[in-house]
Amino acid sequence: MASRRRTLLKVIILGDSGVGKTSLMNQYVNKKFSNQYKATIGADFLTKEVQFEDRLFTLQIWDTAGQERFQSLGVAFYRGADCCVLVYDVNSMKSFDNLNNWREEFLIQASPSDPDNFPFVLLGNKVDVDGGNSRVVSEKKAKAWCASKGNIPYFETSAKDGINVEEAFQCIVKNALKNEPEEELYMPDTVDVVGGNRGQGSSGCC
Amino acid sequence: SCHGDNNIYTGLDVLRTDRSMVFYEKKENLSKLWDILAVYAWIDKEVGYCQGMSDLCSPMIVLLNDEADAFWCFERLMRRLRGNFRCTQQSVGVENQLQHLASIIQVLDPKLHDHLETLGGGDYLFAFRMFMVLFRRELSFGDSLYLWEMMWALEYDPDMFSTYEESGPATDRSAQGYKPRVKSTRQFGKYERANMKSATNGVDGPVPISVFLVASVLKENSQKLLQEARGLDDIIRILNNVNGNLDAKKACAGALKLHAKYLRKMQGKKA
Repeated sequence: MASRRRTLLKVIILGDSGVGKTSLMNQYVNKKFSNQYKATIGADFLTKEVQFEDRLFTLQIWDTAGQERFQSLGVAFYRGADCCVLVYDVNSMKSFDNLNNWREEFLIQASPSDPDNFPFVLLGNKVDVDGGNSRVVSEKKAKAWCASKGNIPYFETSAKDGINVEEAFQCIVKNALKNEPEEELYMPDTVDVVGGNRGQGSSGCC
Repeated sequence: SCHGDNNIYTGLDVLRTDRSMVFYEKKENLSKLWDILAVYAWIDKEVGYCQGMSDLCSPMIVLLNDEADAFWCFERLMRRLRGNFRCTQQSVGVENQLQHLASIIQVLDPKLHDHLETLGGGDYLFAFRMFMVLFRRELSFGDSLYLWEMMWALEYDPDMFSTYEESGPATDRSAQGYKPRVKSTRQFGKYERANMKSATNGVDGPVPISVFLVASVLKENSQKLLQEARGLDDIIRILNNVNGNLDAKKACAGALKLHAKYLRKMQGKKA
């Protein structure tokens, strides 16, 4: 009993205002959709217990405000993230064009120890809208972007209809665990787990 | 850049502000919200439209039938609050108030302040939303109106109106320094009177009562924060549980009590 398994996974959802970050999180955690969600002010999170390869984890999903003006406030919330989920709206070219900004800003603010291999997952949301007729970003284009950023996994989702949401988050959990060096999965029982201790870059002694 | 495309955000937020209210099932009421926010962004080019403003504007439209009246009420409210929304590349205006909050908690509850700081919450960003939309997300619609009315009565300054008439929208009270033309102090709100009596105001003018309201919410949850919070996430979880459980009247009373205590401590430090 000298050590226990690390069980908290922290995931940050980023993307332009109105692409459906709050809706995706709520569809995954609470299995429901509402068109009455308010704009997210500041940051909020939901948790969900998930099982992966016979181990139980607490997935902590952080939802953030989408207006660029608030980007500078992200630092405190990004720290210690295990995976970053980028979201765009397949019906909005601007939200797709901004993905580069969100990705770079995250890497600057969260400053993970190995930025080149930090796990991202991309979601193209709102595929249900207008039966797909108002879509402006093709799957091909999105996949090309993912390939150019080191093969980021990609899912096309509808938070409204619950399409691909479960699948996407299973992939998010898998990727959040991928970068964890084996020794970091163990922590002495006596250490008080506070703040930055549980995230990246807390590489024990030496 | 600071502003991006104002109209895109305005359009998005108009469609997701207080949508559970029957009032906003009417298209004409939605268009009032759009009109007022768009015109405000146009006259206040420095700040533009910022998320959170629709939460502040919506009650004006519900309360006042006339669109022009609602606009001017919102515009006057923004004179007090626009500083929160102003931003540079590195910071957002509200951080000023968060710093005030930090220094007040440091004086009134140093143990809590140290604890929050150890957990990575020393910037008090977890209180961001309470300041940006003046507790609208923590309270029901009716209760937030009740709280706003109490706040403004407590902060009431009879000179405020003349300063509004003199200056354009680009200047706010805090930027001009605070120099009351003293009438009978009985005309001032209780909070304002206490500030005048102690004369501890810095060059920035008095700290708005909202800072003490947030302080009272933190004090109210102090035990819980000290005992249960092991990280920034716990702080946010505990404060989000405040949702719907905040009593406007109690919070105001708590804020006044903390304010008095704070002024006493500051006087003591000076002596």
